[in-house]
Amino acid sequence: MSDAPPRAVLVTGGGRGIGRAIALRFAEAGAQVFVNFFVNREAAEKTAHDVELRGGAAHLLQADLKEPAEIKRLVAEVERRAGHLDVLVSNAASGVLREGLDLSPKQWDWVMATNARALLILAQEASRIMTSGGRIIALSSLGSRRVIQGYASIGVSKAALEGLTRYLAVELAAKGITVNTVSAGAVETDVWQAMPEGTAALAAIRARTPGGALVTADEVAGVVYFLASPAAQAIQGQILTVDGGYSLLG
Amino acid sequence: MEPDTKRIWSRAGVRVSVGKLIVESLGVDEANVTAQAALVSDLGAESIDFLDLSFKCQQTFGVDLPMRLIQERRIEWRDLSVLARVLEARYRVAVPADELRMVSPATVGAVLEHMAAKHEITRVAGDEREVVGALVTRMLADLASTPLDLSGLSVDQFTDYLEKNLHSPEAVEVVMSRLTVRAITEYVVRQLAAAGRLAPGA
Repeated sequence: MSDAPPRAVLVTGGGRGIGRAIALRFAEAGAQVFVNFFVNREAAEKTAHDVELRGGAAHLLQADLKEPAEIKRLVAEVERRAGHLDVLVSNAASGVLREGLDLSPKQWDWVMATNARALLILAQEASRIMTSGGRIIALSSLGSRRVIQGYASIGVSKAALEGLTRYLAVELAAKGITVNTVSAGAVETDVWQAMPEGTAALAAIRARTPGGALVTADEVAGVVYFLASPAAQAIQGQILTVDGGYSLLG
Repeated sequence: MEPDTKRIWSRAGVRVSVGKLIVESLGVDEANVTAQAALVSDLGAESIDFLDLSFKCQQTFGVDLPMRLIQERRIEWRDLSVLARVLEARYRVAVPADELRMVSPATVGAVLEHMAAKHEITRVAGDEREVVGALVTRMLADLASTPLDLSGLSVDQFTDYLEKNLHSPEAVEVVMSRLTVRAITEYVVRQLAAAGRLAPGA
């Protein structure tokens, strides 16, 4: 049993899917988990409840991350309640599934603001209340480097996020803060159910993955948790692919 | 950050605020936001606008506008899991939705032929229309808790569309045309009234 105070952890998009698994992973270590959500309050409340059941302390914070003022309010609320922040997990993502040539400026701006700019503003605000040993971890996907049909806006936003990871890592290294990104392969979440032929796509990805199994949200959460640990202090500005080896082939 | 869940609203106040939220979320002219305007066909709303509108409704009224329920229902229609449940209830045969999706053309008639050939169900005259009718009833019941105003919806018209094509875009359009400015206002009013936050006589 450690005497260290519980870590304050902010997980954006922490109500569902990978974000929920990350929130629960930190809860198991007794963390004070700030669960941010956008519209699905019901799911976020369930995650907050489960955080408490697993030994963490949960706080629900609703915010629209495409609005910088909302992010500033979000981090200010974390500061008001916890006084500081140990780990920022920038997980929230939104997207419009369309070919690049069919995207409207509004759709493009929405996705870029939510998925890429949010990390910038979050890092600016969060690093202010972080001390040495602080961790910023973002979530990306294989669409940042590979072309996935209908994924143009999300893929490019993730590419921007990965580039930003490297710049932030260098800028924040002197303060003892690490910045890394976990690029997850396909994880079976409700996002896939919303996509036409999403189930068939998952089956094809499973078949092509060397181990024959999809990556799980818990496995991704485990890697995020590791990056937040003291053992990962020397990992800086990296994009860590967690896809079961899927991207190694062809 | 946290919505105001104490404020008491008047019906007129809700109407004005819903109009403003729609203008902000969709980026449309206020003059076009009439009570009868349908969000998708008249105001051009798309999925990201619904997210914005849901967020703003929660922040303004402390009321969840469950647009995601409509999306979830549409996914269940599209993947034929609703049809699978209807068929199981009628024929006592559980057939996975993904098997039904392999049937071509995507009509109830073709699905029933498939069921007769592969699962030995017994067909009777008129069963196709009855199955479509049961499907429509189930689909509309699934939408009852959403902000859609389904009053006066022509079930026969809806049934006609689905009889021709289980993935009928016209059927989806008919349903989505019921998502009007008035329907959203009334949904918020009902939620506020249920929470005791609608001014008496408002």
